[in-house]
Amino acid sequence: MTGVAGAVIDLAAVAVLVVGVAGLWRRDLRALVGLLRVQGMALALVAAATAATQHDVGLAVTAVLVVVVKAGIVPTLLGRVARADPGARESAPLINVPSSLVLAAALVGLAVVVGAPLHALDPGRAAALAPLGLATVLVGYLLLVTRRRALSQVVGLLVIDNGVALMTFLLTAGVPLIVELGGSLDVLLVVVVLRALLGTMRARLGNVAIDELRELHD
Amino acid sequence: MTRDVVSLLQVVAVALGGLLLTGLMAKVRARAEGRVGPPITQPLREVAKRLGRESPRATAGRAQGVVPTILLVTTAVAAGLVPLAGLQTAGGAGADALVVVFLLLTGSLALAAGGLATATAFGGMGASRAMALSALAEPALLVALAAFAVPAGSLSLPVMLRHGLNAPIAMVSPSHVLAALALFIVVIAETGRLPVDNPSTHLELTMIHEAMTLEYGGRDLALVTLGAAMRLGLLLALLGTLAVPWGLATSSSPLALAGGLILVGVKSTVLAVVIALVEVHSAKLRLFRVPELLAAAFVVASLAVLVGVVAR
Amino acid sequence: MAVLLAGLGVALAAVAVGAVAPRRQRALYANALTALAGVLVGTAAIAALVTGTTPHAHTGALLPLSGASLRLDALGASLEVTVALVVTAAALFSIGYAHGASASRPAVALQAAFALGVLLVPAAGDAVTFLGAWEAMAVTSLALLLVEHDRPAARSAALWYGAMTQAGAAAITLGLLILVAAAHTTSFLGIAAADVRGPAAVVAFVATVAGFASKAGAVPLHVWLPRAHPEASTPVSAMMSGAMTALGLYGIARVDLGILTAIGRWWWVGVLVVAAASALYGALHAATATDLKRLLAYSTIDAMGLGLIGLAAAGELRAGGAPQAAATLVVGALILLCAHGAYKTLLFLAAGLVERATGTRNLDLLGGLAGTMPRTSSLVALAVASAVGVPLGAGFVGEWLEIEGLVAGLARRDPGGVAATLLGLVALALASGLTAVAMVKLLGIGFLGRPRSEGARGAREPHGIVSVALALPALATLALGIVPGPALAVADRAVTSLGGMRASALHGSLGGIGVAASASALRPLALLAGLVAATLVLRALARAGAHRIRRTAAWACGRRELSARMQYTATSFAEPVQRVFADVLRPDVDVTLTHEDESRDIERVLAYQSSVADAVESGLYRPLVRGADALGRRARALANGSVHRYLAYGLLALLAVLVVLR
Repeated sequence: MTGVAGAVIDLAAVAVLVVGVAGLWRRDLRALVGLLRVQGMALALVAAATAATQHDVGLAVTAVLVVVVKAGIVPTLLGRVARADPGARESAPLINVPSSLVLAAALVGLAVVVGAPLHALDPGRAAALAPLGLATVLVGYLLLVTRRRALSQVVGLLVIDNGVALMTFLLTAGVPLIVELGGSLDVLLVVVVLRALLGTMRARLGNVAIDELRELHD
Repeated sequence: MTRDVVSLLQVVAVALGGLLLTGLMAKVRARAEGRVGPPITQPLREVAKRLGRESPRATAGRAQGVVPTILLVTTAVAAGLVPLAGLQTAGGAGADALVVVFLLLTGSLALAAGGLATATAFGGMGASRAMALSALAEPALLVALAAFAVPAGSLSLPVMLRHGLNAPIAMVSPSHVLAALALFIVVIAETGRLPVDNPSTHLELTMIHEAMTLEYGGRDLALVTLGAAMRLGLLLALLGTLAVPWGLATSSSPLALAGGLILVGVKSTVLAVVIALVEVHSAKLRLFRVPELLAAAFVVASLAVLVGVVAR
Repeated sequence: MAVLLAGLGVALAAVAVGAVAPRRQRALYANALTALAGVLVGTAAIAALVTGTTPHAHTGALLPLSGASLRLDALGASLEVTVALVVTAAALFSIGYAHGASASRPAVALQAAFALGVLLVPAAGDAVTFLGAWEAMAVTSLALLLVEHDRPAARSAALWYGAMTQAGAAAITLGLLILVAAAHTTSFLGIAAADVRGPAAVVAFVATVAGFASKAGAVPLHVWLPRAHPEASTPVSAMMSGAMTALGLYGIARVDLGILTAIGRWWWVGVLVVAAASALYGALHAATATDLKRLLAYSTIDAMGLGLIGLAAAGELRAGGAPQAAATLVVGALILLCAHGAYKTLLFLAAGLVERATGTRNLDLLGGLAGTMPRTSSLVALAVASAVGVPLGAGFVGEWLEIEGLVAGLARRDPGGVAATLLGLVALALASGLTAVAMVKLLGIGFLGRPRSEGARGAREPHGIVSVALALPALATLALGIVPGPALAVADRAVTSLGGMRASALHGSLGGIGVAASASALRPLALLAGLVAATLVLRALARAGAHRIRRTAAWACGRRELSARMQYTATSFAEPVQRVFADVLRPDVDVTLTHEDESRDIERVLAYQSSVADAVESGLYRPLVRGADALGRRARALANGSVHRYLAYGLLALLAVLVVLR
């Protein structure tokens, strides 16, 4: 692995995590979708740099796919949902922002500690970064658990997905193309369904704060 | 002997540079907002003008007269310690990052105590807010410094910076980038810039730094202003040097030292312009939203340390 | 050895004099003897450290079975210096301060006995002597709380303290007994040589750490401390805070770091979590407290937490294979304890003077003391500077060493160790920031500004020996802060008493101190020279420019008549911190608005009340106490006053014994 590509993988992998943490910081839903786009790009960069070092065509195709789906289609769809409700903010998350940030730091620490054995699966240099993927998953979960808006929860779900993808890229240094394709299509499908669902919910109820959706209607 | 001269030059450079950078930031903001703005030398002229004036001191505040001296002296000694032009200053190996941080902290403590000493509501308000924010900034600050120190295994600035000079590739390591980012946020908070504090307002409810200095006038005010400007200059130069140590003179030849001083000036100017542009595009945060910003700085600093374990 | 024994003998004599001397001379003679004892023991400890000798003595006559033995090794001697300093200052202070209840026969004798107890603990060479000295210290301090038993607050404090300290002593006794049983010897040297391992070691570790940590006010075993420190008389609070709590950490260093060297690193990580919680909890409460002595009590919890962070991180680092960093941390913790002993004694004694001069401890009613009590105020400013870590203060030296050690711990490849060390560093940083809030509040609200009450306005500076007593810890703070080299050189020797740590990880000289592994150095003398030079230049410039000063009223944005009530108070000063940490502190805030009769829009009185109760006490201990109470109530049914029933119990007990013994 060359020095430059190694440095790019390091930076991009850390960027995936940092962008995930930034999701806990921003309250503006549109900014949240923007962050998701950046995360998709960083993820694609990890895949592309790994492909370059290993001359792996399949991985290169995957990188392109990641750009199209995770940095392109999915954020665009979610962006439309966010724009439909301008001024929508995550005004009162279940855990306030400073606490959730400190909690995120603790989760990253935990991921680094318990993720250390992952390195044993694959002695490569990139595999040492695998705990970052685990940390991204945990941060995504935190987002999912503590946010009230349906859209933020979708973003949390996608951050988890990105974390899993990061882990697979780093660990096996290349997933079979078909697996990644299937995974990405699944995510796309979920987003499309959720988007349709959110649209209907807004049409019926006027807003989509999860806490207020306690009762079932006929 | 050369080291002492270098330190002395650094103090003068930080004093002049701090005042000029303050003026530059006001100018950049004005231009970006479509105004002409005051000349860059405005803060310099104001300080020079006030130095010759008599100082009014509130009879209630006996400690008031000491505060400007403490603020200025501690900042000046810190400016002499930090390696800005070359690796070696009068401090030698004693130029420790913690000593610099705690010297600057001493200045803020003195300023806060001075605010309480004037026995006015504004002085107390400023002191209370400034102390709360500086307490919240401290974890981010120390952890970010620790992240810078870990590769060299030392908090001694010459050792840290020499390590940085010898390993240029480490400048783009994720841990280094994150530590620089965290320190950047802390510097914004510690120098009282937007979005934490607004240096150009005297609106009662938003003041922090200005509230503590309301009761100073004449020469006392000049010294306090100078101290605050030196603090800004020093923190920007320190951030610039830690993030990108290139250009620091490793020898004691006058030419290399002059080059180092010019380069550190360039780095600080770039940072000052960036901060000014950030200020143009951001509104002041509500006081109780500032902890969110500092928590973000803290989490970035912690990530810098933790990421250092996996990506080194 | 002779000096040490002489010192302890003089301390014993002080107890006797306090018990028999007539009323007029009692306080003078007993306290003078205690001060002399402090000086003698301190001299013996310093001599032992400088010459590198270990004075020891053994007698079979004093205690049955094992006898009593004294042994002052480098670790004990470093603590003994701190304790002796605190005892001497407190005793000198008492000569001029004792009156009323605190000058009564039991109070004077008990205070001398308490001093003897704290002086004896670090010199104990075996488990039995140690436990005896420990119990003497605990019981006398408990009795001292009851000297003013006519006040309900003192009685309640004594109840809490009694319960906690006896439970702690029981835990320590249990732990030490396990070790003695496993090693078949009572001497600390012998137990350490036996190298106890396995489950016995773990139980002993947990029991002793819990017992010692409760003495050092570690959360959640701290609840007695903020009650006992303010209720005791001033010199006793100073000894409790400066010496007794430090001995809690000494116990952890002696037994858990020094003897149980085989304990796993995750146990130390657990201690580190407790230490971090204590430091933060103490600092947070100190920042929001409005009672002068309560603030100091919580700041003691904070300082002990910082010391414990050093010891726990050292244990983890030693087990993780980094003995150099571990040694740096232990020395840092020892210096921190010494610095805390000096500045906290000074602050407690000054608080006593302030209380006597103004009649109140409430910061919201103080202010302006810099004008009326200038000497005390400048000494307090010095202590505050040392506490917040201003370079040249003693506190900074300890903090510097601890942070250096922690950063060395971060530079490891092992993720678990790095995460634990990071926790320690974060807690230390935030606690030191909050300490600054508390201390600036203490100085700025209590001593600067304008007086907020008649009492504060009429305060007078005390004269005589009490000032000398305040100057002693002040000098110690300055000496340790400016010339830490010699202290460091001898404290470095203390780590040799602990297994598995390398001495000479640090070096100290007159000019400064340094950490060998990282090439970092601290040069306070050069720093002082720089600061003095800069000040002189500034002065000279001011003189050359013929600088004039005009005395005037404060401007305050044009407000004409400023009253003292317009200043910030301790409550309002702490409000931002209280609001940010509301989830942890759970403050009780009450705003009452009374309107004018004519119109709802005009408000007449706006009352703001805010109080911060100890959340651990109300959340954890109250249910416990309630449960115990209910159990006791139910048990009362067993004893209904009928003699027949009691006789029946006796018969049943006899039968049970017969069945068991068969």
